[in-house]
Amino acid sequence: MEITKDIWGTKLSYACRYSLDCKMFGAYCYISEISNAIPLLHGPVGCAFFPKFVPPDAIRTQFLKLYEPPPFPCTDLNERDVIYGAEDKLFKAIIDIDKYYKPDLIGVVVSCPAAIIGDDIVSVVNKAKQAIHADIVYTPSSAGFSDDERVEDFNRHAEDLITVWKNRDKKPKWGIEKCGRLDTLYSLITQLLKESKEKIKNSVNLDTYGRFHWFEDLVGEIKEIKSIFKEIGISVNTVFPGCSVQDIKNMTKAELNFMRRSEKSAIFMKEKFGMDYIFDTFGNKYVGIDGAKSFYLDIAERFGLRDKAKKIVKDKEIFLWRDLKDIKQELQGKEIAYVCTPLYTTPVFIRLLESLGLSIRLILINTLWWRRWGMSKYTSNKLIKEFIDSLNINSSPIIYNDLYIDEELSIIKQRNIDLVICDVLVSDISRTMFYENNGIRSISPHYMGYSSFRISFSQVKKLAQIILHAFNSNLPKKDLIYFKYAYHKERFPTLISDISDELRWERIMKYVWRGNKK
Amino acid sequence: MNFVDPMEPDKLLGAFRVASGIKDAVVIVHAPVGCHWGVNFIERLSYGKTNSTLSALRERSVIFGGHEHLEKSIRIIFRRKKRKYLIILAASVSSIIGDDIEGITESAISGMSYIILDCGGYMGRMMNGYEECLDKLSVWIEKDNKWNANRFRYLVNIIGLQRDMPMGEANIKEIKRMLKLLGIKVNSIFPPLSIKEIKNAAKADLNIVFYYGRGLAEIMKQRYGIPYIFFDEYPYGLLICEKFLKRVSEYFEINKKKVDKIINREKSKVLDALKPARIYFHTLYNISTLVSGDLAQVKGISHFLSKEIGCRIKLINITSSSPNVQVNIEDLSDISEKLLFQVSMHEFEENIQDIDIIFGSEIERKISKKTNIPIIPFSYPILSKLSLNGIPYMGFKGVLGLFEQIINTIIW
Repeated sequence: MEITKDIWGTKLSYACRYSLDCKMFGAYCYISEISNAIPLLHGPVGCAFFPKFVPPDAIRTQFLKLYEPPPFPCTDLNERDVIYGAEDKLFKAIIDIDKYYKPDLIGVVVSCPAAIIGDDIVSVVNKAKQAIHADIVYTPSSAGFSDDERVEDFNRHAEDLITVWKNRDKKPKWGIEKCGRLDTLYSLITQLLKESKEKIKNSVNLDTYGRFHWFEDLVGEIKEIKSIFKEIGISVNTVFPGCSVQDIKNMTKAELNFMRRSEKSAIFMKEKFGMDYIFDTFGNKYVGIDGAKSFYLDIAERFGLRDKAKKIVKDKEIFLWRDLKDIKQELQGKEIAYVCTPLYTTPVFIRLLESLGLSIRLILINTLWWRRWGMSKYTSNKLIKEFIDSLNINSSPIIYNDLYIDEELSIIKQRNIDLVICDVLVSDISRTMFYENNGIRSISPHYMGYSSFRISFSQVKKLAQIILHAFNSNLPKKDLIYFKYAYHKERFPTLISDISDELRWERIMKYVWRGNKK
Repeated sequence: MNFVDPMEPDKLLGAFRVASGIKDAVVIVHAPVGCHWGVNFIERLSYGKTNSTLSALRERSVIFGGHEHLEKSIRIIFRRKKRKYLIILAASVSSIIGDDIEGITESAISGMSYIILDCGGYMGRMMNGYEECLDKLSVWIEKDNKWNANRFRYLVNIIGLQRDMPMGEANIKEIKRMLKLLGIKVNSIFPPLSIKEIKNAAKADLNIVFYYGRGLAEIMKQRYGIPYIFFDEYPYGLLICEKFLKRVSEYFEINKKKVDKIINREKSKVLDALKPARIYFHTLYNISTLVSGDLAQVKGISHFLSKEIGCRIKLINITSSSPNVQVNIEDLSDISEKLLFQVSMHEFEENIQDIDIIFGSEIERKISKKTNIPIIPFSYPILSKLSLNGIPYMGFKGVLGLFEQIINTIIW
């Protein structure tokens, strides 16, 4: 399975280069994360053809143990339908899908043509409800042209995150509510949930996410949370998605929602069912050991269990450090370089590395990924400054910004670094290969199963083990074929031969899609 | 059932398959991001690099029109004026809102040659787009007077062989090799790789059409007087290859004895090479076989498997066919127990029973994984296979390539 996941990731990143998926696909993905749910596209065959070839979501594989995406039937809109409408066609398709697949849920996904011609989807769905066994929802704004958050200004996103670094309770202005997945989550919540007569005392619903992060231990995180909650006296009611339709319907039995992405959904549940909520900001609120502790204390406080939780999480931390004692001893004083993209990497993570005994000698900050997504030079400079100001570490690293890859190598070589930890989003594996090809030990913890954004004590142990393993492994000499092709030094690992495609793509995104002025 | 779980995509992918491999032209998918993402995803994994980009329509485009987006995209692409050729594929949104694409293109930049195709997803299936795009490329063919003393004696164009299917390039190479044995040189291939290939197409004496591109061949016949010969199946196996070479040589009136000698020599080379694997013919004899793919592919391979290997074809599933050719599948009814034509995936799956081996695409690979039935990837699309070593499935050499693949898949 590990190799399969690697291949999925490789194929996906290659195939999606210089292109961008749409909200319709996001809706399909989210429905695929609910057990025995069938997405039904109200649209032409083309839109329903491609998603089947995309590897299944991490939630689907890890929680539902399904290793293929679901079928994606459609209403097969034709020219006549576009002129005269296709409500009847949709109704009949719903009825037949209910009969044929016997699903627990049908998710009607609206395509661009269906949205433009203005079929009354709500009426069709309401009418069909009476005639089918499955539950049914529809996604009103999943048309591919509907605006999503990615068209918005990433500079604002950066500003938000800088604020969160300083005060984790600050609310962001920027959000991903318009993402096709979250739109679908909102549809599920608003269309399926009913007031529950029965309430489970001290219970919480947990929002999880995975997208295509097959390398993360999503199930492990939830397992750990459930176990610690149990000790505190809190029960987990529904973990969503990666659950059944009934689990979603049961959500109103809980007293509290822990939401990580859609505050809009949380607000809906609060207003309609009186369910309180805690909203994590971009997964930044509960990062690292202190973050995990805060998570349990914040939740426990809502149930009046803070004191009990305090003792339990303190014990967890003590046990963790006891477990890490030997590893920490071995890592003590080892000198590392950390190559990172701020925002994705938080200062908390760097402090965590230091707490494992590592001495951080170099920090190489790379903002290329963000700039490629439209972040201005001004914001990226501000980001670097704020990042450095928020570090608060004992090591005194030398810090460089946006070096070319050969400059990175030369500086790392000069400093006799023991290990390079790469954390630059898209090119981590290439970077690791690059350094090891040049005789420098290197790892990318995220691609080895560690995730800094998961709320977990055990993930810290895993990180320490990954780092220790890297030090104890052989580093045979390499002369990798991978580097026999001319790559662009600033935009590593993009090949020189692909650079014009990359620049063209970025210009189209910036000036056409986002509509920035030159 | 009143729904379709599609086994064939829409017009846009068909046109994109033809257009996106022409390296000195740029393809703009005039659509929201997802339409481009879908076709690009499939083609990058099937074939590799694509020369495409998009106009990234948004909600406001649906209300106010997509002219601003398209115009900006064109200006970005052609800002250095290195390229001169543009293919615009208008997907569903722009097709419905009715952008004046020609007007926008004209006003965006001058001195550029462009083709516009209406590829609304609701307007037809993949092969409609494939055929229409081939037809449209004819505008870039340049007239040729054919008076050139150094010119090759017999010059042909090959139309309709799909480059982006498994072993696509290797298949083309093998067909070129076979024609060369008769003293025939291949001039241009459609779908083409370059503008030059399109421009030069009128130099040919004959167009050889492998099922797709009959419309283009008709245009070239009318416009440039180039005749064509038409094959309704791809050249898999010794029999079809022999038939193919004989028919082409008859057209050029090449000495029959010479042709027979060449064919016999090729056949005996293949048979010699196959000899060590002869024992496995027993294994394949009467093996229960499913063949799924587009009509030209399915016809060619089914005839080979049934007549020359002795497989028992239990189910043939035709996912797509050319709108330019009247569908003739009577001969397939004779060799297959069951025949499905452009059905939904769920219906196809219902018909899969007692199958020992599948010949199909990425779609059937899912069934193969679910049922543990071995699969030979041979039809479009295949997103999980590399073919770097140039071993074909078609032509004389293709018999060895295909046989090796079949046996290795089964015995491993």
